[in-house]
Amino acid sequence: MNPGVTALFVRSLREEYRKPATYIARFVMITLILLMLLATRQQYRWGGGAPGLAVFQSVTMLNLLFIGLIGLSYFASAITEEKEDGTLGLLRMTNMSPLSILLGKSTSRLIAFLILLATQLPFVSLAVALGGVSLKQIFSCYAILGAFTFLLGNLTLLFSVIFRRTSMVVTVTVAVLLVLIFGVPILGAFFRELIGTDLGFGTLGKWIIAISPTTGLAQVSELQFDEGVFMQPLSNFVIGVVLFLISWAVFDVFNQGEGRGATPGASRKSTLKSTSPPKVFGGGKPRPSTSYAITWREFYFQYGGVTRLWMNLLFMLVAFGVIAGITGVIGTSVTLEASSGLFITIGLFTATITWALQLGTVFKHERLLQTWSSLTLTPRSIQRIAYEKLIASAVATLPGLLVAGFGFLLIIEHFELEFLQTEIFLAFIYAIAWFLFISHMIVYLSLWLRWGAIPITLVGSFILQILMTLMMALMGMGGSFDGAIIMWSFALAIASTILYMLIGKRLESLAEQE
Amino acid sequence: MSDSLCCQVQHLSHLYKTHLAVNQVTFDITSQSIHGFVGPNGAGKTTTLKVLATLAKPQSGKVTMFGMDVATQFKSVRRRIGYMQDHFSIYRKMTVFEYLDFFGAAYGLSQAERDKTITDILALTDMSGRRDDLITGLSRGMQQRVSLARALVHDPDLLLLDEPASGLDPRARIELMEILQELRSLGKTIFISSHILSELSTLCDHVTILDRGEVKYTGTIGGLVKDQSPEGAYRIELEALIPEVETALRALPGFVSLETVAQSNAYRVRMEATPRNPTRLLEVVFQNGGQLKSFREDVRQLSEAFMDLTQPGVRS
Repeated sequence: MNPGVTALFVRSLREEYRKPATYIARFVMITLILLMLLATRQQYRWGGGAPGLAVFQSVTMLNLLFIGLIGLSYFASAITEEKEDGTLGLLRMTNMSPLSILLGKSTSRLIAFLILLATQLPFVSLAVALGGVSLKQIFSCYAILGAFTFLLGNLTLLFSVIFRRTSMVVTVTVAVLLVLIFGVPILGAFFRELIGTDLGFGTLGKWIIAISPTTGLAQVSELQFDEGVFMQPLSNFVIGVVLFLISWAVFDVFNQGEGRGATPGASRKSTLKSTSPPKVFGGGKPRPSTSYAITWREFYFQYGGVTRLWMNLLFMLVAFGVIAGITGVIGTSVTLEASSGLFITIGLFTATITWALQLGTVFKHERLLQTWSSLTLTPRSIQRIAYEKLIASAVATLPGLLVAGFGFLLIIEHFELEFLQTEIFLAFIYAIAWFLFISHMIVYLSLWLRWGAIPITLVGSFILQILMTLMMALMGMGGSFDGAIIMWSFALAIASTILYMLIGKRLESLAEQE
Repeated sequence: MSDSLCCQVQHLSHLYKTHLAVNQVTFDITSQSIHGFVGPNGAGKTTTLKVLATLAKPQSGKVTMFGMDVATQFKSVRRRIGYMQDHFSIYRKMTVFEYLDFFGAAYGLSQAERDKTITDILALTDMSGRRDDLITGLSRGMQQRVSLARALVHDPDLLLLDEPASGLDPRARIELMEILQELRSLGKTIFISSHILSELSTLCDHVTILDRGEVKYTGTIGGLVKDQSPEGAYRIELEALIPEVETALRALPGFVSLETVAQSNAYRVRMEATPRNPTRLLEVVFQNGGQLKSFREDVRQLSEAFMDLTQPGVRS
């Protein structure tokens, strides 16, 4: 191949292999697989069952989660990171073709991820020795995961070519996947009930299910699996190739103006903007108070202010209306309990997502705009600045909490308060400990990473939860629920305190480095 | 600490892993002066400025500002200093007023105080007409002024400016220097790091030259020029060079050296420091038919002194 086409690819591949994160990820995955093997062997030490299959299924789920969360944000920034840094124009000025940029920025990441999957193979193959799973199943499973990674990588690549922001790429990719997985069957049922025909959505839905990796993995995970799987890997691979070709075809269309405004953090739009502030946020904004100036800035300029609060509330009500409407048309009666459940789910989901997103970006913008040192020079402690920012993040979750609260009010008279029961109280403490740990972890990782603080925290927390369960199994604590909850809550509280101190140190160091 | 000094840096050292960025640096900043801080790239200027700005803690040595130790009393120090980084540190989505209002509030100024201060600062920086403009739409020079305005919003006594003129066009640079002179007339002390030596030499009354983490000179500009200029050196510029004049100059008692200044009709003559008798040189020129264009003591410029004091090449 022409060395010009592969120059960026080779460079990116070298960079990937110089990053400690590449090796840490492999180490974590392999350690986890070995721990799973060990714990399963311990669990099935008296014989019976299919321990190998149990390990195999757990590893498969872990990989799906890993690809879906970390892989998504890893691939999403392939082209957008160059746009966000204002360096895509510089790449293009070197006469690098779109193909070479796409290969360099995306394929190297894909290869690094596929190698991560391949590295696991010898270790997962040990599950065969435990019984209940064959090598054929394991290889089929990794073929499906590999092809799905390829499909996802190229889907995000297409959006990365089209959009300017990594967050937008992630949002659109998730939205597209949700529509394909859930929206299509619902729309099929909706139209069938409404006009007597599903307008082809039913067939499309069946086809999506057929090529979905979860279908393939379910087949492979069956005890008596003995056939090969071709449909999922082949279709995923072909769609991935088509998406790559589309990305190549539309690259110039969506990236013509890149390089004109090469200011880091400045978007192409911003160079064309008028110098007047947008009216929608301009009117009715109060002046900052001396006590909560940073909260004021964070709320009005980072989150979007009162307008954004109303928009979020409206979005949730529309979501509720759409779901309730479709449910009604399909024929399921919308009960008070169901409505309450829907309100609580939508509200809590939105509040959680908002909180996580706010935490992930709470210091990111300061780093991007290099404003952190200016902020630390104000006569406020770093802790005070951080907590003022968190207050703004908490305010941002209000619409979600309000909707969830409303859902709760609908059924309050049917609700029996059993909070004082020991198990519920301990579970509450445990949930709070996790909440604090995850919040601190997201903030801490966001101070080091350009992208992926949220998914890495989520996958990391999932892995930690697995480790906790495994350790409990290995220590013979499986039966002592209360003791384990207290112990782990305590451990999470200590971890949160350590993270709190590390965040302070890191923020001081960032102010000095800026 | 003397009343006329607002900052004393004593034996300051700062290490980044194995790299000694600043080594035993000692200098003072006189109140209500403009103090230039010059040095080649990698000399340790920004590190020193960060310590003065309380962003980095001194690893060894002591920095006292307004009688307060920057390591322990940094919160009080921060109220009295304004720091402008060598990069734009601005929120682009805000208007100029919102940006300054925000920092005013963060520094604890009441709304009435902020209104007055911001109006004054915008007038000083000639930005009154851009009060409600989004920062993102401003030119580089204007954004630099917004940064300066932010450093001034809490009315600090000492301004620490790190390369404030970098990347500005000549007009914007000159205008910035005018603003700094006006600030001095308002009683502010300005500590400015810059590479533009010609502008510093006219703007500053004090200068500290740093090279490879060490102070090579600190004191007044006049003192630097005097220290670095050889005694008894004169520059004689003629309409045309005449060999007889050169021979007669060489024959003078106390003659040390003579060189022709490149690309000009001038001699640089060095005589023994004592007895000083420059009129004797002029007599020799006239007696030998020389047509004098200019005659002056050959003092070094800041840039020449800088070149003499610093080592060539970039520090690794």
